[in-house]
Amino acid sequence: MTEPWAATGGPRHGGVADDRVTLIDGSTFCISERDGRVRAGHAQGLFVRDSRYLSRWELRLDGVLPEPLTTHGKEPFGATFVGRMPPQPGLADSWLLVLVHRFVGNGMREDIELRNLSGEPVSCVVTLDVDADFADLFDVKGGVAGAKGTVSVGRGDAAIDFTHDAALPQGVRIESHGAAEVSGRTLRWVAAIPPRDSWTVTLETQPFERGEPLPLRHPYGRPVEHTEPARSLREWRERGPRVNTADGDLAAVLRQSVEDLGALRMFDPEHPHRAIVAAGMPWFMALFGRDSLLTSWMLLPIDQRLAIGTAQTLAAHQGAVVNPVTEEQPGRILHEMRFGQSAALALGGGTAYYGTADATALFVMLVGELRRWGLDDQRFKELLPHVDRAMTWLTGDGDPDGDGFVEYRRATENGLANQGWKDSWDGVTFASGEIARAPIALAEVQAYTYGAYRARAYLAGEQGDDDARRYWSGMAAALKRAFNETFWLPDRGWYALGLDADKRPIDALASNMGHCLWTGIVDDDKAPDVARQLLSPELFSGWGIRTLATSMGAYNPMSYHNGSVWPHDNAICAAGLMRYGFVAEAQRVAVGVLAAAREFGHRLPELFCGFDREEFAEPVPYPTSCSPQAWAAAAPLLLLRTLLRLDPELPQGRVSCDPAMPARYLPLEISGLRVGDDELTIRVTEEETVVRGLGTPPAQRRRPDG
Amino acid sequence: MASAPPVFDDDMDPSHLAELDFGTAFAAPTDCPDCGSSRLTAQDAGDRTDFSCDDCRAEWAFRLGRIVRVTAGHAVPEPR
Ligand SMILES: [Zn+2]
Ligand SMILES: [Zn+2]
Repeated sequence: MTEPWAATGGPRHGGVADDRVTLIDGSTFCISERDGRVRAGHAQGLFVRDSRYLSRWELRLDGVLPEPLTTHGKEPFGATFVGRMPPQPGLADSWLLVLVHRFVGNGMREDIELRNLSGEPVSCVVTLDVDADFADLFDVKGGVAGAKGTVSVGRGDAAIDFTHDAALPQGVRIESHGAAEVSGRTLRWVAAIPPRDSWTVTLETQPFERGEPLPLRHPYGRPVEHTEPARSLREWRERGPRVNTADGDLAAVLRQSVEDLGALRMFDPEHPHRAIVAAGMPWFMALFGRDSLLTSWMLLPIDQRLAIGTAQTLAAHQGAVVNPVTEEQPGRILHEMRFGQSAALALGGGTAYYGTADATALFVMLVGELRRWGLDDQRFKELLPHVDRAMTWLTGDGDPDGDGFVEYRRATENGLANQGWKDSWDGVTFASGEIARAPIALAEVQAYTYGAYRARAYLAGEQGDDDARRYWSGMAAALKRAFNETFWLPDRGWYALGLDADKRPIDALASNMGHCLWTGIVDDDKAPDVARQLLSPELFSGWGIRTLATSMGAYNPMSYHNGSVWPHDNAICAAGLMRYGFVAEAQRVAVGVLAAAREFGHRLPELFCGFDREEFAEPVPYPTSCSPQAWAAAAPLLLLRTLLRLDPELPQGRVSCDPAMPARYLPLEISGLRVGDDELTIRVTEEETVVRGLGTPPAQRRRPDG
Repeated sequence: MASAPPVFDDDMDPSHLAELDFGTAFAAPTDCPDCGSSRLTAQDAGDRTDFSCDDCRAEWAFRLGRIVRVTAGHAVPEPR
């Protein structure tokens, strides 16, 4: 095993996202072309517990790839690839149908079926070329796959064995149930099929760890169970809020958000009823601190359960001791964790890794926001000590040089080089393109820290603890002052995205400062410049704000963090623009992202390429983008909240709503919105906004300005 | 607590509905699909969490929003 935790660094090559088929079961998943083929040298293959056990899988009939017709399958773990033998020259039609039934789970089983639809016997040579490189999952996603250690190939009776001589000895056996010839990395059969008959063979791909086979979930000879949607099993369906809108695309995007976040649901075996979600399918099926905190923050107006479950789970695993290997520190909120006995194996000895600069501040912000949305006293009291331990980290280990800014540098070579959300190895650069050296203090990390100080002050005020309120308000004010003095680049007219090891401002024009608007750390006199830059042609593509401006040295619209567009980043920027009163700008970002969602079939991917909308009529997908991805799925809900200008202060019995909705979505109505003990209906038309159902104070009526 | 009356008038059509029922989407499995028992216990199954029925012993897993049988209980015949 190499680096045990997940850099989310993207690949530098790979297939088109839309053409992939991904099957998944627990920590096993298989990514292939639409025809089922796994092509060598691509970010494809069969992965089990973070290692690639198949890196090539190519079926041929008489030396020719079958022609794909369709793929179907309702199960997450299985699909049928339907193809046909290409027609012979001079013949219009093919008579040989190829059905490949694939099931994954601790390995893979594949039933290959050839159907002769003609009245004549057919004979053909069937070959399957396979390979295994045992590459690390995140090396594959990062496009730097290469086995460490040696891989040897052996042959058994109708089987090929690959063994990987490494720190964790691994192996895989690909076995044919049905006699097969074996040579090198190829299995070969001769299929003689009578008229209107079929020929079948079953292949098992069986992984081994330390010589022990993993139990296949779908072994040869056992019929495969089918699944039912979990939601349909519940006789009683909980009625949640409902949105009615004149815009069919907006409604479809919101429905997809519910579907996708439900699909990413994870269960802590100790607390199965706490709602938590994985970060993204298929690469990040684990709990990530930053992802889950931002996702649940975005959902707060609609659903508070995810925020409560996330805060409780992260609190339960809050750092307690100093451990350089996992970067655990007292009070620190984790970066990534997995549940279950095999988690320790996947994460290199521990179940959690703590290398993140922002999750701790985001945790405090989330608890503060939860309280504003009416978190009950009991759960609030349970979370408060964890908030205070997080404050200790923010002002202590989080700021090792004591300059008042939180910065990061990994503790070992195995840690993440960059510990903000742009965590590619090259995700933080100067305008020249030069890569910044750690320790790095990121702009948005200071913004979140400011948000955490403000949240702690709010909580103190709400508890009647005036000393603590004054203290944390003072901390927030001091940080805001220092940030605006140090990070603002008057010659450029934008904020540095960070400070490097020598406290030099990292002067690239990037989306990071949008997050600074979001938490309010930006001085009012600088906000217009920030808004103008975010919507400039260099940053705004027409579909959204790019991660990095086109004028920057490291700009690449096809990169992971240096010019691509991320929906969650945009939702946060739009919220920031609206906070400072840049209504038209916030609307432009929201409308652009929602238009992109429509082009992606109403499901926003993790990210897409940063090409200009005028250059391509549709947003260009990013290869190996996660889809669904939790914070991308949640982004439309934050956009909706932003456009509604919905803001709570439940302990004070207040909710404010002052919509700035673009006309295309109107009329729009949200009903069944639960805030505290009340159930609200908000109805927005071009003429007026009506809020009903609020107990105290009485229903409000306001005109939208927009 | 009375729920708010619908205020979406006929003249506001055409409208498109999105039901944001996250409560259902985030719910843990509560009933055994075989015997209907509500005594489901979460279990550490290595790389994921399974749910086993205390009454009929059937075991279930949750995958991408779907429920699948891991092992059959005694209340139902083995799958064909
Ligand atoms: Zn510092
Ligand atoms: Zn049962």
